[in-house]
Amino acid sequence: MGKVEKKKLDNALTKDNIANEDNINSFSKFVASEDENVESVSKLSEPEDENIVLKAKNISIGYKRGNKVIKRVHNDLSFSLNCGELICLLGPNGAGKSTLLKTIGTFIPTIEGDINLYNKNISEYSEKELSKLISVVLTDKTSAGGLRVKELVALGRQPHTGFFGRLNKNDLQIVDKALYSTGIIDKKHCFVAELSDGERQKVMIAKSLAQEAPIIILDEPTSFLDILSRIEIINLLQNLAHNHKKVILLSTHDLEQALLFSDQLLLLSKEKGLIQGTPEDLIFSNALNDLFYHKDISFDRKNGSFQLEPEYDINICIKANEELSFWTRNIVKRYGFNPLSYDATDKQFEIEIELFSPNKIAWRENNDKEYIVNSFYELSKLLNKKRESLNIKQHL
Amino acid sequence: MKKHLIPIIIFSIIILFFANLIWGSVSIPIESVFSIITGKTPEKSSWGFIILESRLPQAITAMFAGGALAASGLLLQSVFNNPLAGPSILGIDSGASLGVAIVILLGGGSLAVIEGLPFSSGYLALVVSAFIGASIILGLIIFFASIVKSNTMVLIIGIMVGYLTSAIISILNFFSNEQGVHAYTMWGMGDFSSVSLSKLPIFCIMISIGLLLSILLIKPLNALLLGERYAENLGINVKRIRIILLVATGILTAITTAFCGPISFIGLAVPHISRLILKSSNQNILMPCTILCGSSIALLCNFLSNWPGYSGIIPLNAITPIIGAPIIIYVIVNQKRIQYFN
Repeated sequence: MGKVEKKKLDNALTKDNIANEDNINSFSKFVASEDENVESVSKLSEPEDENIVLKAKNISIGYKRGNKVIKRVHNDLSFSLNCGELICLLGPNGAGKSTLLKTIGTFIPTIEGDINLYNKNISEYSEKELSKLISVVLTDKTSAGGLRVKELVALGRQPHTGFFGRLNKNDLQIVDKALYSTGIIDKKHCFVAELSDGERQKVMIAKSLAQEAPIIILDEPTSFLDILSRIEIINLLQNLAHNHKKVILLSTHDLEQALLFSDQLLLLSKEKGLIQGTPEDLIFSNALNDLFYHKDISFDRKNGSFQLEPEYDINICIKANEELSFWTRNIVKRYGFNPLSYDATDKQFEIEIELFSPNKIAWRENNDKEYIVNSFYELSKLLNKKRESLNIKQHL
Repeated sequence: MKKHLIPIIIFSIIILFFANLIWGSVSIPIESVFSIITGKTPEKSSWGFIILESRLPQAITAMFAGGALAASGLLLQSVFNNPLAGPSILGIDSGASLGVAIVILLGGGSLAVIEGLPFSSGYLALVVSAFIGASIILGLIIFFASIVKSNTMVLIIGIMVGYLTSAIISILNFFSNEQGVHAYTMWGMGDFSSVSLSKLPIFCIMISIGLLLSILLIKPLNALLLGERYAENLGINVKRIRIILLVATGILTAITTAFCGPISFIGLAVPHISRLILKSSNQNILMPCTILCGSSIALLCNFLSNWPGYSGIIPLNAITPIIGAPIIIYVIVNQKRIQYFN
């Protein structure tokens, strides 16, 4: 993995080199900085191999009953999980995300191939050992409402405690630390039943922390949460990955956040199998676009989200600052037109919209008429008018 | 956690235990009762007999049987992840009853199991068949629970299985002789008095084994509050724990049912009573509290069943629902407000 990435980066750097050769004046500067870059890259990638906590090579996943395979979900999946990284597993419904998570969480065995955990086959570990290495946060319904928060988090100490599960001073400290790290220490004495969904999720994450396993696997931890709790939870997980050097693997449908927060993405689909990479690399290699295939919907790199293809073949050029142009693109797309940014001047456009402020918007059609409108509402009326005239043309 | 509740419950057990010794169909002065217990010769030899051969074993039986039923209820609620599970509602004790019915009704006359069932071989047969009956029903319910995911539906299947065994028992009744039917009917009313002083040690030892298993299961039971997969992830061998849980439940239900008849509601209601007073589902304290509460409430029920004094006794199964049913209704009605349901 490390080597592959290093190669990719080297390639990228040589490309940069070629591009920069035009600019002779600053060339020498670039050489100096690039040499540094190359060095720092190799420094980064060398310990990366040591950072690998879990590695799967050509595994087949699915369900077995006894020794008989009932359902084969995927073949030939390979990936590696590094410590200190937040890894999001993305994929359309039915791609086998939960099956993969169940396999990594050792709830089900692989059909073929080995998963290595710290260079040892995962099947060679005992249940007890695994419970100290992999912890999970699931979507399962629990009946823990009658437990206090600290009691639930203390359950995470079970792999470490004796026969009766008695907690010593050290265990209690670890529980407190977990409560503190997840920001739920204030609710320590509350009943789990009294918590909101977001708080419950934090408690389960605290439980995982108390388990002191280097790998935390989370099955859609943000799916029932409101937007603020979502950001809070994923930011918390990122913190745990970066500061506590955990491997955090989560499945999610929240693409936007996955792109923002993940250090690595695992893209899983029926057609392409599993693809691993840094979000930005995957975006520019079109892997993300291929993940969710739909004839009218594609990944828009400018917005970092999936969008409908424009309904009309009409380009609208937008002249504005970054903020204004983002929202102008938004409204233009809503009416089915294709927005162009100002620097893409090589393309033909029919309409130009220039924004001086949200209250002063210029609309120029075919470079002859110009309207000045003073709100997005009025702009929307212009867009609508344009759309209606196109519809009439189509009907004729 | 309210740790001070445990001494209060123990205190109530002691009070109720002595109340059971003092109160009965023959009035014996309190001083005499204490002097008999402390080993002094009583003023009337019949009093000594009543206290030592009847009231004392009855109180001890109630204490152990109550704890056993309550513990088995709590175990079942945990294993099925269903707060409304219990040995009677899931038909476990009717399974034990069926085992008993087969022995009493089919063996009817020949085993001479009427009136106190004096033969130890007969009792062994009773206990073993009760255990087999309870285990079969438990296995059946677990099988259905794996197919039907809804908790309520599993309870309804339990009730159906209960009806089914009752139907089979009725058919057995039809083919049995009069003595057998009489013995079975007497047994079916539920009674803590049927364990004589000689059988008491074996009864107490077997119940203690079941209770010990329940205490040993505290740690995995706590993990199971999070569900099976979480428990597995915490290093618990869920399959093995499940088997031990079922053996413990089987022993506790079968022994009490074989000796005392099917006693309803203690297994279902007592875990709720202890959760409500403790305000906790933490098994570390819930399990011991449930066992003690079970003992206390069984002693209370036994005391109430002896209440009429001279004019005979009220059947136990006429008292337990009066205490148990309102609690269950309260719990169901208030389930939105009760923490352990959420």
